[in-house]
Amino acid sequence: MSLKRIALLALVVVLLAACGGAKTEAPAAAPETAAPAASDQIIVGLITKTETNPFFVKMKEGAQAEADKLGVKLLTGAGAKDGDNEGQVTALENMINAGAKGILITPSDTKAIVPSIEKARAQGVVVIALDTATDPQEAVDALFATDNFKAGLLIGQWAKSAMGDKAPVIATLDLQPGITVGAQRHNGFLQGFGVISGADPNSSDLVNADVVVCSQDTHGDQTEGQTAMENCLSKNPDINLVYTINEPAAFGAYTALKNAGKEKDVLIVSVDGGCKGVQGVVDGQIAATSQQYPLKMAELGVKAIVDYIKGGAKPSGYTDTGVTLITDMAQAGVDGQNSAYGVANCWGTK
Amino acid sequence: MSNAPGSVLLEMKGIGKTFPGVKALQGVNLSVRAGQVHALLGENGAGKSTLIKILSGAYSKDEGQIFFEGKPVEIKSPQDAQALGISTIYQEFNLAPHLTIAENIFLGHLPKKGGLVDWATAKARAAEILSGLGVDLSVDATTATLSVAQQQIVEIAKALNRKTRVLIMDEPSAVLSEKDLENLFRVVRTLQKEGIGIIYISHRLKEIFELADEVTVLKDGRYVDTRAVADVTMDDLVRLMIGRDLQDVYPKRTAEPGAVLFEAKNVARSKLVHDVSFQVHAGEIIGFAGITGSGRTELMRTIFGADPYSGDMQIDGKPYKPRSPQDAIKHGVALVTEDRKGQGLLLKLPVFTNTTISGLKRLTRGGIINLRAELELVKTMIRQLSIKTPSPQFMVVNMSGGNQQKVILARWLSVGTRIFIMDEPTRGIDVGSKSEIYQIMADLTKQGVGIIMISSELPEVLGMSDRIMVMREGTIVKELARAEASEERIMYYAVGSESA
Amino acid sequence: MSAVVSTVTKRRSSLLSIVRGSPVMGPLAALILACIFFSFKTDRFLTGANLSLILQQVMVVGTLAIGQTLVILTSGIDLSNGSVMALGGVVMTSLAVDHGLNPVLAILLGILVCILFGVMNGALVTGIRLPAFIVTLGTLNIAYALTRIYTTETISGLPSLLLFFGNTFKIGTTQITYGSVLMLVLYAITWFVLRSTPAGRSVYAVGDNPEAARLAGINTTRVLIGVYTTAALTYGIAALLLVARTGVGDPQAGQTSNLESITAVVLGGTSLFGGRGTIIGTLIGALIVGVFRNGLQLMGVESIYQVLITGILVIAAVSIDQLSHRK
Repeated sequence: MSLKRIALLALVVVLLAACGGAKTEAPAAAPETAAPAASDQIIVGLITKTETNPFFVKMKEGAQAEADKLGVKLLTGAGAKDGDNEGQVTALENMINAGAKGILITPSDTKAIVPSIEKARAQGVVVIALDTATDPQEAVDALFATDNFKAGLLIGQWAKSAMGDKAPVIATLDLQPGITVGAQRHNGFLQGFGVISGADPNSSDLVNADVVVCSQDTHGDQTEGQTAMENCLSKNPDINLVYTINEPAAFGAYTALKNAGKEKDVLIVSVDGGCKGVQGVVDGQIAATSQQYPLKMAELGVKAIVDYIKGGAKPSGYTDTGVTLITDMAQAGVDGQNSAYGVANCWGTK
Repeated sequence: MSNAPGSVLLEMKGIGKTFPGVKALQGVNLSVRAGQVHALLGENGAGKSTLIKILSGAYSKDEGQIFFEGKPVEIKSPQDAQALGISTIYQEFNLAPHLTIAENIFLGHLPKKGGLVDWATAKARAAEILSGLGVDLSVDATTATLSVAQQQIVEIAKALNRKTRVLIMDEPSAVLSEKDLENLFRVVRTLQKEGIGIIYISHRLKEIFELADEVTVLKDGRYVDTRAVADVTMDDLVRLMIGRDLQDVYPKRTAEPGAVLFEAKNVARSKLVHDVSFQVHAGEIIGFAGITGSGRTELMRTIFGADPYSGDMQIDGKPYKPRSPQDAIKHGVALVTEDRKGQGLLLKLPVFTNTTISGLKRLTRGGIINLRAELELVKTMIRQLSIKTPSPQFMVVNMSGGNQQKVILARWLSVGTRIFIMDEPTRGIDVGSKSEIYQIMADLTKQGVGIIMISSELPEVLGMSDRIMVMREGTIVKELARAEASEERIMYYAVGSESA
Repeated sequence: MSAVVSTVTKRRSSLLSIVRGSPVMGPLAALILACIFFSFKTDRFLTGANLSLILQQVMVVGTLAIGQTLVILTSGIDLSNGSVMALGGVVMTSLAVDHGLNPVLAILLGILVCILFGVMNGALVTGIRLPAFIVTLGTLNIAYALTRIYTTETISGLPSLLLFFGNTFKIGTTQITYGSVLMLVLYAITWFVLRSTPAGRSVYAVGDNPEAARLAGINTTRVLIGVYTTAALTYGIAALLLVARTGVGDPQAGQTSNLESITAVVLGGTSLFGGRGTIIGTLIGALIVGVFRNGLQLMGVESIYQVLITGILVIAAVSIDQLSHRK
């Protein structure tokens, strides 16, 4: 009996060892070296936070279109869910092993991914962060992203003007603690609204003000957004301005307000500008949103990597991929576009 | 019923069935007439269950033919069997516990009227079937509230409702008390009068003589013979089944009781057991008789340390205070449980694990089991107790009841047990294995082991015990020496004066 | 262990009976077939570097799955392992970084926190006789919340000792992570304990039938508490491996690890009803998941298909197990 087990174990070991032996026959394929892949095919990797979020689907479309245009191969991967750092690490390792020379990544955990990115760069792989900066930002070669602080600032300024003389009672439906994007949008909003000043645009800590009577985490999820809004309303029924981390959270908040019969008295502002989100502006559920352009981020990212591999300059620094305020209630002194523009340009579709 | 009494309903000819590596059935014949009770007899593993599973569509046959009212038929699925009117009542009932009797009887084909269930018709029909069986039960009662015997009746009613022509009953008496048994017999005779052919499986020879018209005997998957019950004696049947005579079943032994091994003084356990005092001598077999619920099993569990108790116990004159089965085992006490599958065996583990699980300490050095010594021990046990198993690695769930029981005995023998408590040691075990287990018990007493045996089979109590304790309502009401005991006297004390 | 549960029969007439012959054969066949498939599909698969990478990628879930196997063998389940691991990882890293504690002490304290959760799981399962599912669902949330209360910050800048198991050594030209070796060693130890010690036998016995095990003289309470505690020890070690692999203490880690570890156990042929299964099967199960994830990624298949295939494999594994035990 025991002999049989040992034989089985040995088989597994032999299998692994045999494969290890196979490696020496193809030393050129070793991933540790920055030498070009066995075939001259250029491979670019794209790692998003999740597979399913429409934002990342759009990003993937942009990357794929650009890769097809440039004739390079695109590998994609994602974490199991938002916040799954290990899943992204695994995808990163696999792509490098597959011969990718450049990786685009939207870090799920801005700090946790850093050591793995450093390892990748040490192997000669160029890494560009999309949408979300790593912490520190210099951990990657370049960042192609929305200025999330500015995105918050825009809706803050707009809301200030739209509220006029009304005393603000604010609820913020945030992302989750410790994530830079969430803090940037939140802090930008409050600064634009004029209740805080001099906030660090790169901080991952939420700043709060007295007029904010309720802050809840929603993980950017519609159902959680609704629950959060319900809780906020029971805490303070006089809320008249709601900041939301993204449009799903905004829709959740709208449902809660509508159920409470308050949807006419409350302004909801948000960030993203997704096609469905902008439709919310058209329908009057969301008063204003800051539109960002994931398709463009991915497009630019793929191009920058391919250019570099073909002998161009190494991508570096921060590239603002732009943000536009979308609202049908334009306020003097706040630049923006109407919802028709928003629909036409949602997340960068042409 | 349209069948003239006595015409052949069902006939199986030359049935064979092979499982990978095992010839389970070979050349088996069986024919059942309308209105006949046909007993199917054989030791465990003789092929009875395989045969009825072929009839009920659970297995398909490899060889032979089946005729229904003279026409050849193929039974490929339970649906085929049902369409022919063949129903089976297994030992494990197939009832939905939270539904009513009426709902169970009509399960799957409730009468409908205008798309809705026609409850009035269903209940009326269910009540009709039950009264036809001479049973007084409310069709609205939930099945879970019924006794085992009553549930069995519901199963029979369910079968009747499906227009059953041939009813197979797999050991229906195994789960019943003496009193319920009579009721079952009455129901079976009612079915018989309605022209239903009945295949009746039982280990209890007495029942066969009371109920059956004909008996077919199987042995080792082969057809032995079919006889009219009127023409055979019990000895004949035993010989056909095992090729041996009945009087050899109980080993001849003369009791030579030694010193007092175990003593209980005023042992009690909450409401179930009170004021129990008795002694066991080395080399003695004490039989515990009594009806179900008399507290015998509960008493034995306390002696084995499985349940809390009060009172005093001694082993070799020294205080014995078992707080757990481990304590008991350390003191050389072992319990062979009544519920072999539920409380005794590790069913999905192999023979060797089951054998050595209680005695691993003896095989362990420095925390590591000596696997070679373990295997040797198990092989020795398999040889000594003639346990039938393809290998020590065989899963016990696939073994026959007798061999499973021997595995349990092997477990306790290998830890040097001195006080053996055996709760219904031969329940559900065929005659052949029974006599082997009796022989093991006899051998143990020769080595000075004391045995406490609970048994509900009075011939077994009388055949094996040196002294007999009769329990009723949680205490010992009478001690009888072997010489003065008889079935009548035991029953007199077991049920109390009101029934005697 | 595996020897204990294998039913050695001489029936070799069909695939099913081969699977029945040894519970490891089915998963092993699946693993080998997957390896063959991927080595034909992409020339980068069958390299020492890549296989070493797969091993490195399964080392965290693989180590968690050791504990999960022990728990499942007793017919329990542990939903808390990922959260407990995250807590352990955050504790050991923050003690070392934020409080400047000696790294060895920090690691030990991190593992100790995990062990305390194991004791708690075991005590609740045996003491109040709550179902393991409920108990560990509770401790899952408790550990998750404690992690977040403790810190929401990812902890970086770790001392090198905490990163040791992420380092590599060379066999020939192949780099192998120390962590992968540690995982394999843990599997070997568990294999031996389950097979050749009374404690290992007790785990199977309690899983098969707790009442029968008790009446056979096994202290079932002690066995169960021991199993949950030992399992938690493996979660603590998994925390150390996770920290070493990702280079940070991550409060968000491990949120799906419970299901991933259960997947590995089930793919390895262990019955969720307890008493039947092998630790080697679990290793193979973990490798199957790792091989598919890696191979599909190398082929350029979207990662959502890895999830799809894992789902199909789980159902296939359990179906084969069911069919092979039907008469």
